[in-house]
Amino acid sequence: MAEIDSTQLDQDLVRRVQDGDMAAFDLLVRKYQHRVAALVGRYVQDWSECQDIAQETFIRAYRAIGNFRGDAQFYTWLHRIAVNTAKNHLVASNRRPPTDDVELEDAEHFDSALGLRDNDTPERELMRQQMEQTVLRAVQALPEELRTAITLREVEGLSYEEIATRMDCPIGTVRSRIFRAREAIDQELKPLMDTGAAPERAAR
Amino acid sequence: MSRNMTDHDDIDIDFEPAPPDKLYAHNCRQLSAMLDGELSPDQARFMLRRLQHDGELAACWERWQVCGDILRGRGHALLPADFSKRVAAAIAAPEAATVAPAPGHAAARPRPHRLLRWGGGALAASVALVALFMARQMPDPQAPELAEAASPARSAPAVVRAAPPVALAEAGDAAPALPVPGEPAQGGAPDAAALLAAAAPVAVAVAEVPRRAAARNSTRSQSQRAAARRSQAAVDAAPLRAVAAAPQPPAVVAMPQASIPAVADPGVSALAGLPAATMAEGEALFGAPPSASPRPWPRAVLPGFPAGGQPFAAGYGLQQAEAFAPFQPRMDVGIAAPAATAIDVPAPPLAGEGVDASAPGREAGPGSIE
Repeated sequence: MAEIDSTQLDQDLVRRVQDGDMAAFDLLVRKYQHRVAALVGRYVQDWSECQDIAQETFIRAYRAIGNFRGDAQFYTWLHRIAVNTAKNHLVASNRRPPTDDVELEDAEHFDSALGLRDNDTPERELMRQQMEQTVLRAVQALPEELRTAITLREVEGLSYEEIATRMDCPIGTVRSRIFRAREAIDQELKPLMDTGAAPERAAR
Repeated sequence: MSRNMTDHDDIDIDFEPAPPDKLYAHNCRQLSAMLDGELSPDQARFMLRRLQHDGELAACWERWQVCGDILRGRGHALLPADFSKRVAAAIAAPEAATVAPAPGHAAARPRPHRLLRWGGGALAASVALVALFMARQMPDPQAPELAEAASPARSAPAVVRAAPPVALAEAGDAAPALPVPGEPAQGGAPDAAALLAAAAPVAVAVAEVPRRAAARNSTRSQSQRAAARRSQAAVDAAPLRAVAAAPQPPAVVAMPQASIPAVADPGVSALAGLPAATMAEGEALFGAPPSASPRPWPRAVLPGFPAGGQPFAAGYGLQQAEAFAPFQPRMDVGIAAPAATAIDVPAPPLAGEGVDASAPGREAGPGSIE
């Protein structure tokens, strides 16, 4: 259900990109870059290569987005491009790509994505665990109504209207609660992501 | 915007300290709604425009996505903060950062690509199959058969079969000459005799090849069989000729005169059994690739055939083509030498002597034709 909303937004963004709006594509990149990187990381172990392939994936997606008709979800389409780009990269560097592709469902679920974790360096694994713990701790620390609202939205994937019905409050309140919850989580997450990005930039 | 206004309008001075946070909060609220697909299209359009310039807001959008992914338990690998900028820069600089030669239709391309690859493989396989059948239809007369004859290991049985009755028993006086390795050449006669005696089984061995090949290719046309039969007759006559010529080495010199009628009809001359004439025939037989005789194709089209062998003489590969070939003799050196060593295991130097002895006689042949 979250996917339905997300699909609508994605298609809106795709339409804008097709009309030449580069900012809309930037939003799509920002939205999906970490998921794409996680997916590519299951094919390529080296983090630097992984970033290059993720970048190549988005470049290819941008060039081909004129052909995207919205029959499938944008991320499904992007997932395919990422898998092909990663496999092409492996072939080009004389490495054997895995016989089985990482399917969308497998890539989506963290618990089954064991390969992803295996490929990580200890530092990156620590960083990931830290982020997860930070977010979960921030959610636990939220007031009850904010926590319920953000959980119904992000985990259950309900629309604002459905959440308003479930929580028995106006839609405006739902909107505000979700925003406040996000802001509170973001307060905790922001330092991590900023410091997390800094060493990568220095390394490159 | 407010700064511009304050430059020109004093009324707005009161506004200045407050707006950034409020505006930012307002934008964040709208962004949150847009993230959930709950923003009206007009507002979304405005928000997108805003995001184009507001990096902080865009980063906020990115963090919220990560937050949602973590809450949903989705895999994520944190990319550097400037990743989206790098992507935008790479897109702006066309083809600069492309890894693959043909980006774009990556999702749609692999299928035809794979088809093309397998199609290419199938094409190559069918071509190889056709080539195989064609090679069976017209086997290379020299390469496989002569290699077979020349290699001592494989020609050994043929020699064993052929040598005792022909070379060693009938050419009686030549036989003692064979096992004397250190003995220098005692004039032309014994040497030539030894050579011929040694070469006779070789001729049998070499001639055995086309017979076997002919037997193998039993599905040939009538004319091909006729050609094979004729060569068979020549082959059968070969040891006899060699033995007959053995006590008469000077006959080698007489070859040119005799080879002219032999050219006219080699089959007839072979059956006639005249020692001198057939000696030339036999020499031609040693020198020429004899296994070529039953082959139906013009030599010019056969791979591995010497260019000197009259490329346009489409004479069904009969020996007369070689009788005219002035540069042919080097061939019989290559053939006779290893075969002779195969026959005469205890006396390897004989082959070298045989080559030396045969050289002048062969050289005299074409010279006297002219």
